[in-house]
Amino acid sequence: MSTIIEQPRYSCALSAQQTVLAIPRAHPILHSGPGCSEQSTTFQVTEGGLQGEGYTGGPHISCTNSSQKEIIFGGVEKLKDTISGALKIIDCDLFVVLTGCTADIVGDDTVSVAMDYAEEGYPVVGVETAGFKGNSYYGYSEVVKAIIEQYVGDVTPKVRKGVVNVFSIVPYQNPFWKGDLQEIKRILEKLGLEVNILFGVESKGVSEWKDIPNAQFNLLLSPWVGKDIVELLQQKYGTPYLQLPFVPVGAESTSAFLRQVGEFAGLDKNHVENVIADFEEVYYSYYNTLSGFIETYREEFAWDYFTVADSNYALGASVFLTNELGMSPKGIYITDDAKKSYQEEIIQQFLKQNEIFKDKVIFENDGGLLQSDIRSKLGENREDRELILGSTWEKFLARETENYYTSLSVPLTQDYVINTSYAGYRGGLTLIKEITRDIFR
Amino acid sequence: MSTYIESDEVEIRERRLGSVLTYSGSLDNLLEKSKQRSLCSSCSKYEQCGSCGQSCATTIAIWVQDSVVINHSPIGCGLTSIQHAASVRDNAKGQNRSVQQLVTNIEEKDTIYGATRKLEAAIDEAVDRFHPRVIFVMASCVSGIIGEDMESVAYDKEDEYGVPIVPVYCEGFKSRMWSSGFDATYHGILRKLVHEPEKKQKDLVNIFNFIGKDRLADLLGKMGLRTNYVLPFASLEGIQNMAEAACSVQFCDTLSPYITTVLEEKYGVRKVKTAPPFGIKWTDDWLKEIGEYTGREEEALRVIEEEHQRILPELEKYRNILRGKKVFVMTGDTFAYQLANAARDLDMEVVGITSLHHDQVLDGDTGCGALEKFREDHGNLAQVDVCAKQPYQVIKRIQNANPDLVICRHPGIASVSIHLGIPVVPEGDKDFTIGYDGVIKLGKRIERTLRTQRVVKNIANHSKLPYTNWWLENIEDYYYSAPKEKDA
Repeated sequence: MSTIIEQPRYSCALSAQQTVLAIPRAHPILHSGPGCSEQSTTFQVTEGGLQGEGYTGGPHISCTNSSQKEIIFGGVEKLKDTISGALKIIDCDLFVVLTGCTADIVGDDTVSVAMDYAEEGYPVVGVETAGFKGNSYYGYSEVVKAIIEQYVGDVTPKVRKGVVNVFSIVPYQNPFWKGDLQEIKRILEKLGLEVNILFGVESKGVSEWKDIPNAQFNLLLSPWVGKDIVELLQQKYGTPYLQLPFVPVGAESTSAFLRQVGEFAGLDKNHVENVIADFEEVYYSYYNTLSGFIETYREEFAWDYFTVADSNYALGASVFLTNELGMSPKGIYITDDAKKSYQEEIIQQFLKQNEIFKDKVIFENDGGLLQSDIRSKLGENREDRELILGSTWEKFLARETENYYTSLSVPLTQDYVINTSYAGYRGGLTLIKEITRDIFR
Repeated sequence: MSTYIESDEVEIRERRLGSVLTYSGSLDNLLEKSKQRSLCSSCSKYEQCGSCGQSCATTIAIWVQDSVVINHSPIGCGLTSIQHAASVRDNAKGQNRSVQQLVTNIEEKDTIYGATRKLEAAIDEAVDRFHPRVIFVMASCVSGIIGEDMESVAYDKEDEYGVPIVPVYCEGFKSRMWSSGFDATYHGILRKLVHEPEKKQKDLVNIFNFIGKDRLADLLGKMGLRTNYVLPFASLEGIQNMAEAACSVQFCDTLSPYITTVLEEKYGVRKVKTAPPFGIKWTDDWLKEIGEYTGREEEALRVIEEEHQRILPELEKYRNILRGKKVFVMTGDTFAYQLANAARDLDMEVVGITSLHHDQVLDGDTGCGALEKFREDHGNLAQVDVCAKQPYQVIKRIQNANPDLVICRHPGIASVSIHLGIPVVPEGDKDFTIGYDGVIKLGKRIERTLRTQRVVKNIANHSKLPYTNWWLENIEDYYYSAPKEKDA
């Protein structure tokens, strides 16, 4: 692990402006310097596979653009003007005030200002997201918790059986979050659950967030990010949670996932098995065409691979490639700066899936260092291509070393992701398509 | 008074050039007020996000060959390198776009105990990983506020490694004019890298540009001149020896008037003062001035004559297609007027110009460069604006102007136009429109944009702008309670 970082794979806490933007009709108001918002947008949207700025994102984001005056005399007045202006001008249902480094260093009490608006009945939430406090993953959690504490608030839950809130990948920080959440929602609904997906086009927006306390249970699809969120909800509303360590990719993981959810939700076992059988029938009708692919391209295909991604996707994709396609991992690089205490858990999750991952998992948030490690492990034999899954930085490495490449993590500057997704049944098939593409380049 | 002052930092544009972020009114009034330097740098009470000096400063430093850029900042400020490294774009051909960048990743504890050790470690790491020939250290809001002594670290490490280390004071909060970041990098290289000229190279022209392609080498080559393209893709020698050149030209008067002025004042490198070569006549005038400074007046006239002949058929073709089409231009300061001038050469009607900021005077000048030249050539414009992006205001300006087409440059503005259903030509950093060929290229791009505008209409038909009806119907108020008293 490095403290100085080359080729960053995540942004700072303030980039949780994108978490806000992932909620339909929610608007971020930044109390920050003038460039913070654009930097985040550039990294997570433009460089994130052109995910699209969304309804109020990109240049539309409200900002105090704090400069010398606000640093010296304090920026609270400017902040109030900005919030008041946004409430009049921006057509949204929820306004989340986020701080940048300048506001937090000089000590503007931003959260109190936001809460004053909330007390007057405006849908305003405040949260401290100075860049020096943490990264994108930290910012995501802080924003979600702030919305729960300040906007959803202290209510008495009216629990409805079959309602589930889903917390999983971090919007925008994962370039495929939109398609993934759509797929997760689709398969859970097939089980008969009512799904509060919370982010993305299929979320109903703030009404869904207001419904969070009423869920039968929370589903956390993540090894560590978001754990504090479901724990908060358990403590606040008494909602139990089911944690599964990663977003499932392909039939084996997804079917196992559905069985666990079915059991936790108390669904009829036969019903769950029928749903799975239906999904698998379609899935394997496509999957089985691999026989023809293997017959023709076994020698050209890359059977050895490297994965560069956050812990969630590194697990999901690697488990699929190894357990369902028989591919061999040469290096799994986890870039999300997971705390030491979580690192051991993540490694255990890998080993639980397959012993082959032993000694293959490396925690490294410095792109320069992880790339030099990949270089040292790449095979000498140029005839046998290897596959590197990761960001555009890995694409450069793969091209330079004449290996294959598949997009898996940000930054992605040479992709237009639209609705690409690797989650679930559909996602597994998409990933197969993506990892075979370079053969035909 | 000399423009260059022996100091760690160059004065920000608000103070040096009286730069402002808002204006609405006629071009004549803008020029008149600027002459008196009476425009006030007030902002609206409500704003949308801008840009910062650090990203501008980094943009022009990151491609100096064999360099490392260190962003002395939290992780969020040093993220753009991948975009610079990406090389699918047309203008990347033949350019070495690999980038070497480190972020010191300032964390909470560093804001209390200082981050100097991190900076030292980052310099060690930079030397170890990349063996650079020059290192740029970019200040950030945090490093500035907590008072990091970048200067001492740079001197110590310079001694240790024998590699020049250039501290660049481009803290984002320091200036509301993000272009101040360009000045900060240029000041750094003037302090640390540019050598006293040992000899003069009479046939060498410095070209100051963003990150695009050197589209001027061919044209100047026809006059027997060589180009020194700086700073992107320049070698350390190219930068060190820029004071040997006969003259300096710039891609836009907003980018580099500071360094071109200093090079003239300090080292006698003539600064080409006429507006940059956007449009036929402006390119003529520009070549003539270069001819004057390089003793090639006749070559200049010959090249102008030949180039006019060469482009005439295509120029006529696009004029016939585009005549009378209405265009709205929105980019940084003088560059907006440069593009508008090129559009006029295609016989298009300019129905609005909005610049992202406005310098009331340029370095080493008494006026506003391209703005004045535009006024001379085309007369007054009843409505021009200064607006630092601010889509909530821009939509009203564009709608009022009702153009057939928008030309812009900065991220986000194109999408605003598209959401209004108006096709857009994003100029980006590709320098497509420069020189004689640039006018033709602009014509070609506009023709294609208008021909393919169905996609834009479709997007507009299926999207909604994020503004309240109250705001959209409030046609009087551009600024959201603009401080009108300060306009007078």
